[in-house]
Amino acid sequence: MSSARWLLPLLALFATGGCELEPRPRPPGTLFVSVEQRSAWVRNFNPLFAGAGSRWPTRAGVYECLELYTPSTGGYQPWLATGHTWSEDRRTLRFTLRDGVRWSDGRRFTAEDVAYTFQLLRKHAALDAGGVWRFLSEVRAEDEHTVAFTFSRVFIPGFGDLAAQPIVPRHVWEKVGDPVTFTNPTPVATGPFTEVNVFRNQVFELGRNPYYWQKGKPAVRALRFLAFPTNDQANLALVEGEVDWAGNFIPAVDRTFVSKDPAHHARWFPLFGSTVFLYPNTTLPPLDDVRVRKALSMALDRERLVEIAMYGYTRPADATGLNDAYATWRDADVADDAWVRHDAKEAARLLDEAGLRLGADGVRRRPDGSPLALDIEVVGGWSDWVRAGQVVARDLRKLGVQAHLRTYEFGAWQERLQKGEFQLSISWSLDGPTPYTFYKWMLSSATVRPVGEVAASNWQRFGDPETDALLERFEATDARAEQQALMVQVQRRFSETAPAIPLFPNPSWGEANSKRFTGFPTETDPYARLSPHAEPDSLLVLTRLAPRSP
Amino acid sequence: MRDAIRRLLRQRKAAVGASILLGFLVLALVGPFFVQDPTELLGQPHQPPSGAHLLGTTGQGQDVLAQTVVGARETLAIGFTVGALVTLVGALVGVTAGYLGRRVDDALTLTTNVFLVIPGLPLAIVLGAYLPSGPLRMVVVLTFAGWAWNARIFRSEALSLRGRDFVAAAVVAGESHARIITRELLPNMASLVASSFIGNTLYAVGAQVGLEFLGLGDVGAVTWGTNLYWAGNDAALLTRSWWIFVPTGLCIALVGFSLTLLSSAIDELTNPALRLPPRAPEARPAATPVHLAPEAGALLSVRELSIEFTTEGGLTRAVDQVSLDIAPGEILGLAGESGSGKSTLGSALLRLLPPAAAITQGRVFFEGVDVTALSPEALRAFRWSRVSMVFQSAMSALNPVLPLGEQFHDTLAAHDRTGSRAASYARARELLAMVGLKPELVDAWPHQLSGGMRQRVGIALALALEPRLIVMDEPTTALDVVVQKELLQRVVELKARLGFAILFITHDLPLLLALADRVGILQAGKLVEVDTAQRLRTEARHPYTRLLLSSFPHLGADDVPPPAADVLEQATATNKPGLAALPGGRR
Amino acid sequence: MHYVLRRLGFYLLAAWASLTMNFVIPRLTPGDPATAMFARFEGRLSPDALVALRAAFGFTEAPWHVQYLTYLKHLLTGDMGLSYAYYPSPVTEVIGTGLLWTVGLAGCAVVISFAVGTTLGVLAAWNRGGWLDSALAPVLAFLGAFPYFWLAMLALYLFGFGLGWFPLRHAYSHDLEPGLTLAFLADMGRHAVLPATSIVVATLGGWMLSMRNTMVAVLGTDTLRLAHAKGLPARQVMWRYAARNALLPNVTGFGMALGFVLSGSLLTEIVFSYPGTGYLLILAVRNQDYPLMQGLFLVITLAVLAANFAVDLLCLWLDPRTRAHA
Repeated sequence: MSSARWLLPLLALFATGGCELEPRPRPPGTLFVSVEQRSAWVRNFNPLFAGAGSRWPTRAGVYECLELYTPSTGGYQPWLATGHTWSEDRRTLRFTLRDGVRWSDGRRFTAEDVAYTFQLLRKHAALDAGGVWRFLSEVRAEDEHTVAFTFSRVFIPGFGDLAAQPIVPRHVWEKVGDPVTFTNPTPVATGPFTEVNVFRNQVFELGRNPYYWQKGKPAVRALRFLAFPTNDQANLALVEGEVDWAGNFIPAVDRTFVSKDPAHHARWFPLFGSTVFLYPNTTLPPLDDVRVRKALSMALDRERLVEIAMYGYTRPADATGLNDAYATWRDADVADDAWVRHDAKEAARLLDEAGLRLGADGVRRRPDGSPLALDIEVVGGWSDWVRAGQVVARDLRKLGVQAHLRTYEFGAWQERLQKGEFQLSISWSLDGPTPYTFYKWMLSSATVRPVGEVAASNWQRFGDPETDALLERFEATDARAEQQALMVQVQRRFSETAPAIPLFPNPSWGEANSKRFTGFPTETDPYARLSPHAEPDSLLVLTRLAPRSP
Repeated sequence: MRDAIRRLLRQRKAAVGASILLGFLVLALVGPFFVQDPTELLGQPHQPPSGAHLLGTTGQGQDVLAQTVVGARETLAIGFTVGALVTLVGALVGVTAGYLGRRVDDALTLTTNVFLVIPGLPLAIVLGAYLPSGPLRMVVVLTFAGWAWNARIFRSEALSLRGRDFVAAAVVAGESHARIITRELLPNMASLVASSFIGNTLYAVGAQVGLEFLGLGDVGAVTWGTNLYWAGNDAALLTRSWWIFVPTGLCIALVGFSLTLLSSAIDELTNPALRLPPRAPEARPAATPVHLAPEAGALLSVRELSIEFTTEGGLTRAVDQVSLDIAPGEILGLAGESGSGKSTLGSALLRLLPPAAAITQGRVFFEGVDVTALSPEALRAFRWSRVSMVFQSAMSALNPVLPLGEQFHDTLAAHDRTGSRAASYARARELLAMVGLKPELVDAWPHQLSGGMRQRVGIALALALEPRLIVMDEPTTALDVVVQKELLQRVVELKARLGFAILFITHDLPLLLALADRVGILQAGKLVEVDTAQRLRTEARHPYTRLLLSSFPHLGADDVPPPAADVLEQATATNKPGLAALPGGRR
Repeated sequence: MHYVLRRLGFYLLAAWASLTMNFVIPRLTPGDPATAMFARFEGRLSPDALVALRAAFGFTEAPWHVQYLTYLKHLLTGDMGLSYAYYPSPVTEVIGTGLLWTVGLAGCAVVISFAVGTTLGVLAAWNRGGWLDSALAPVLAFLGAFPYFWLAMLALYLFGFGLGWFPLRHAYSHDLEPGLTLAFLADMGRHAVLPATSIVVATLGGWMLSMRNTMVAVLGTDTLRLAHAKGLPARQVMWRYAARNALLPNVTGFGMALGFVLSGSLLTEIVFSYPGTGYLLILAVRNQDYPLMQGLFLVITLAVLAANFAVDLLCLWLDPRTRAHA
């Protein structure tokens, strides 16, 4: 055919391309990381606006914060600040800043920069993701190395939010018109990687900060990011060895990834992610009855649920609802409470007791005779939760509850959840350095919003006055023993009232390929979480990693 | 209707398509009762096919076979529902637009066209993002995104039906528009409705699967699209579990394929031209007597020529052992009713028979050469240079996308009669002038000419290679009387000047008697009588000839009589394959 | 010229209609992106920040018609707003990362498919009942019945993952500098082979069948009888007479089908991680990123409209009869 003739040069072209495609030598010392899943990169390095789609690791890698909290070690680590002190009345917090820190343009980092960063948060409420200005009254640079935060009330847990705030240079951001919409294409920062070497739709590369304050670090020459739009593609690249460090969910990870090269392929999925709950809407009978909530909880076979929905990567939640980041806070007694254990008989008994008796057709009836039908809502695209929902629905049906799984688009699901227009919904919980945040959004009356009004959490709309008092005392103490004692009581209240039904703590996904780099955190060396999603742990990992000598 | 279905099923395509589709329908209805619960997490994930799980397990440990079988149910249900809805909406909009016309048509057509150019999937995705999930959403979204294509087709069909008698009758009878649309127009579009429905179902299944694959369906349901969605989500690729997505894909393709087969079968039923023409009959050289020889001195000698067609009912003889001769410069007229075989005979002289027809016996000698024995290349060279032709439909026979000059040029070039394009154009101008047209028309396109002008171009083309014989097959039938008369005068003049012979074929006997030297009468493929025009007029021997003569009242008059019937009526009557062949229509 | 203007007017109208639809659809339903965005941060955002966020996103309670006018005004100035998912990057910038790749991939694939399919259709109709007609056509019809993305998955599985002949993802290798170098173009070509082939294979049968059918219809006309009678060489009759005439309705169909093919190619892009607009659209939907969604829908629609206009111009060039109306 004549058409074959003009096809030949084309084929030859592809063939030569083929030769070029043989694994080209990788630039030495360049770490390939897969964190965000995008089809194309958009240049954005704005560290202040949490709503910004800024590129990883803008908030903990390009920019840095004052002190690092790592759940894997359970403690704070000095970073841009070398330490902090509370005033006697607990109304003033002073951070002492590290000497010799420079911005990547060579200018010195001072207390003015820190104060200015917090002033920006005050001026632009959208930047204040943690809501620090609800408890702050003033931020001042007392001298070059001291920043003083004046509190409007005693609020010890506020320290966590202040310490975690990425700090930006005043001399740059002063000139920025609107810091909320600023995409900060060429960041000036204190972190280990600040130089944008390459930025294309499919790939970008960050180079070392020439003025980084930790001498001789980072050992990694550059970070390279390839755009993978889907989990599947990102996983393929990881399995093939193209990517060195990733935070992907991988189904059957040991078989598909680790076993391919057990010497180098490692995964560590510690249960530091937020606990996933089945939220009952406690404004609706019979879900307002704690017996019913506990009965639903006891109907669930969580062992099977985590096996099926989570590939066995996690464990069933205990009665405190806490994930492993709070291991030191957890009270073993409370954790062992029976209402989160699978016990169909007891569940049935509780429902009978609550007046929800089994009808002749095997369906339980409400006191008014109508069948007990409950809808479980999940986000359509979130496959692990959809599966979890399927298991939950099946277990509840065994109990005689007409349970149906309903999938919604994210927005619709979210709206129903936040406004309290649901019966049962599967969702996450909120976390902080201490269980304070977690329980506040579970039990505090202050977080209860009326049905129809958007609630940030406490979607079950449950308030417990006893817990309110405990939390208030917690806010005012920085003595660890007292905090611990208070938290045990809060845990007990949680277990007694069962405001929401904990399912399982989420693993924090992290995979590493140590063929080219060493120093990744592991279960035996848990200096940080392996998951690159984990901020600010990524700073610790990025400064620890070193290329293997060839 | 039942007859149509029977005919449909006789076709192999339709039979294969229908049985595959039927198989899947049965599977969708009955299958779920025979397989395990598709959502039940029965086994280990990612297990290859085995005795326990014939098609293996999914990434969650569900049975792939069960998922595939149960998935058929909702997928097909949504597919057929959307197919029906899209057809309905499209038909209503299209028919309303086509039937009501004017402003309504303008508005609806505009809307339709706008929807047509808006890409469907993004529209469906955007729309789907805002509706609550579930099968209903899929139906709404797909219908909304897909109706326009149909509306367009139905509109043009309605436009063509609107002018028909039975619709006019209904209008006169004072029936309401709604009634006319639903009772008169739609039932007459049965085959269009059927093929649209099938096409729409095909679209619906494809689009549905695509949306679900993106996770925009109800991921809790078991459908083919969600199966593929989960395959992608559960690392089918990573774990090399091809069995998770291959069976579903094959099922989708089989359903799609069966629908394609059915729709193509319906197309062929409606439009017989699409069907593979029956094989032409074999020539039977043995039946041709060897002694056949051309008449000495004759330009053309046809000897015992038989032409047969293959039809559904077997062989039909269109020309039956016809022998005739044409002398140089002679005008031989050939008359007969429609279907008497006169046009077939004319075409046979150039061996221009349709694929289903063949010369089964006899010979055609032209200047002593046996045309029936020419090799393809010799035949090509023979055509037009020795014998050319003027078609009844020269108006549509010209190539609409080439200027006239080109059509002269390629004719001349094909026979090496021109040195250059410029030379061809010069010759074309000359020829156009010869038939009384402006030479500048050489640069014109056929659509710029009137019917009479085009017919003149046809004659000019026929003269291009100075052939010895021109076959004129009803060259004037489609023209009005005045044009007809002018044209014939021109032909007679040219003949006198150039000396070619003419085989003039027409049903218009009086015209022939005035024009031809000799006239042959053809009845049912047989040449019943040949004689000079003068003699035939006064002393026809064959009863059929006499019957023909008696049906023309003006005979005897010297001038060319008016055409037998309304010219336009005739032209349209002979050019109407499509709907006449359409079974099941109420008319 | 009149014809061109009229078509242009129509496309402007179609563009207006689609962008109005674009405006209306998102506002018909509940859910608001500020809360959606809030949710994506799983509580890392305080409720106060949420209020500020709404303001930052420009959520106003202005009446619809005011919002509509603002919307039109912004679009006219090329301002599609800021993407929520990629906040605060402008939508135009986000779309800019993918548009050319989508147009390139879908464009190349559809042109190749149309050219090859049409040629096959011509040959099949010319040799009725030959092997092209009786064997290849059904095979292609069968292949055409597969969803595009499924063929893409299979191709990826077999030739990318299994055999390793072609890259698994992306439009070019990440370590090559994009530019008009031979190495880059070859690399780009290699990356395009599987996605483009899967689109071509899935659409080839359709073009072939429709060309074959129009061609068969043309073959029965007097134009073709005359061409044969004139003793023209077979090749000339096939191409210059039959194919040339059969092409016209197909070119019109080509314009109409562009939207369908583009839709399919969006899915193919996702399978191959091709950096086009396909995944952006999904991302926008999942994040309720109205501005991005609207921008993408608009840009894709405009691309299809522009392509249709180009097809109209092509028809004008191909068909003297249309020119007459011009």
